[in-house]
Amino acid sequence: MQHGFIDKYSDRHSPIHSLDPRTKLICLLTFVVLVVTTPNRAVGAFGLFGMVILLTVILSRIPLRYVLKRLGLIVPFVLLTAAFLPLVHRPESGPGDSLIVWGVTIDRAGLLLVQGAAVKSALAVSAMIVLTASTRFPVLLQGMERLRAPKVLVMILSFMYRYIFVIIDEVMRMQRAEASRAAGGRTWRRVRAAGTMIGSLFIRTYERAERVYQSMNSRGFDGDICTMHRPALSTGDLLFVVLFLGGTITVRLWGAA
Amino acid sequence: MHIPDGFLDTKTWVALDALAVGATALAVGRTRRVMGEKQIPLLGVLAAFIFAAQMVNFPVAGGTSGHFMGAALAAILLGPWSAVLVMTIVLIIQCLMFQDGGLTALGANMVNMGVIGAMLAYGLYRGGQRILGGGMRPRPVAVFGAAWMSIVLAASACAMELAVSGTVPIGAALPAMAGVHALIGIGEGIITVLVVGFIAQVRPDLLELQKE
Repeated sequence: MQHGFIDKYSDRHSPIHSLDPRTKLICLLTFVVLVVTTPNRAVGAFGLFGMVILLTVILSRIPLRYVLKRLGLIVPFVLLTAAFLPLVHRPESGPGDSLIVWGVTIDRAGLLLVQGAAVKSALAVSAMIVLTASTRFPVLLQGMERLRAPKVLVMILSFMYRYIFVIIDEVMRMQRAEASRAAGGRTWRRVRAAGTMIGSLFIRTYERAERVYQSMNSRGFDGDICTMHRPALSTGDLLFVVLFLGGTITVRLWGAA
Repeated sequence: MHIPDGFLDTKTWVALDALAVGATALAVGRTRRVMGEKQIPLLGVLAAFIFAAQMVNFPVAGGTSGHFMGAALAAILLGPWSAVLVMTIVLIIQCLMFQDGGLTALGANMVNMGVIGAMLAYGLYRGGQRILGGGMRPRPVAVFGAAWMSIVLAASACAMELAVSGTVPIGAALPAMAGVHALIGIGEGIITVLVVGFIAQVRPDLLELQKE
């Protein structure tokens, strides 16, 4: 069975790992909203936000290389918006407000916008990595539930997490079977094979879901799941919340000034 | 097509988040009425299916490969409301665990790929079936059209949201996004036709699942 691809590094130990999931969720949400609403010109504020995240990455002992690799995800979007830069010309900007790069005239305001978006998304992605790489997924779901996230959604999420490994195993078995019987082939044959694979995956998944539901039903499932584990807030959580929120809110207010 | 944080301005992401919350609440209520407590295991396992199906690569022209979004497939197989919920779950996981799509932009991605991708695709599919007169047997043209449109419309909505935020100019971004995804949508359409055709052959009863 393929394990651990979904919440990699969450089984390690660090001050960040031992925080309550609620603490981390609240800090993440506040951080992302603060970063996204900071004006693009506040370069200093973004630098300080970056320092805060770097500090939590170091504290959490998540490899920095892993964080940097994940940041590659936003590159296509930055390139997409950057490609439209030469086409943005604001009527209010005069000749002094543009610069010429490689013979193309670019509006300064437009450049600032794309640059801001790139920095903001990089900060948000890094913060999310720290959360998910330092919290096991079931614990994260508990945190969401205790923060009054809709119970139905949390329970569907937990079922998805429970079965994702089983179903990915199923996909890999099918791909192995296909590869060992028919290597390569023309494009159309491979497209048809992919279609058939997804089709039979659906049927197998649906039948599995029925069996799961029946066995839950026969054990008395009534739409509710009880757990023994109760996360508890500690003084460490309190300290972290005060420091983190205090620091980031100060940076945000300073950046807007 | 997953929009990261920072690319939408505040008014846009707040409005889309509110819209997505409303649509999800509606979808939870509608699916519960049809499925009862069976909703939880069934939708959870099927969300895992869409997630895993997105891992199956298929070859696209020029040696590159693509994977599919699955919104139209989910809508055709499960009905529109369950499909919205399944796509919402998949997007939440992709955002939180894989940083694919931003947290404040989650609503925008849910509207594009869930509400627009699945809801409109379902409407187009039903409309196509009615015109072509297939009854319960899925017509390839209706399935292809629905899947192709789900990709093009989701991409167009994404371009429009970026344009409203002032990130890209609408005149250039909309044709560019729609044009590129008109090509990607062909792959989505073909795969969806093959999958639905296969299920119609092997387990036709699954295409008659309770739909609202």
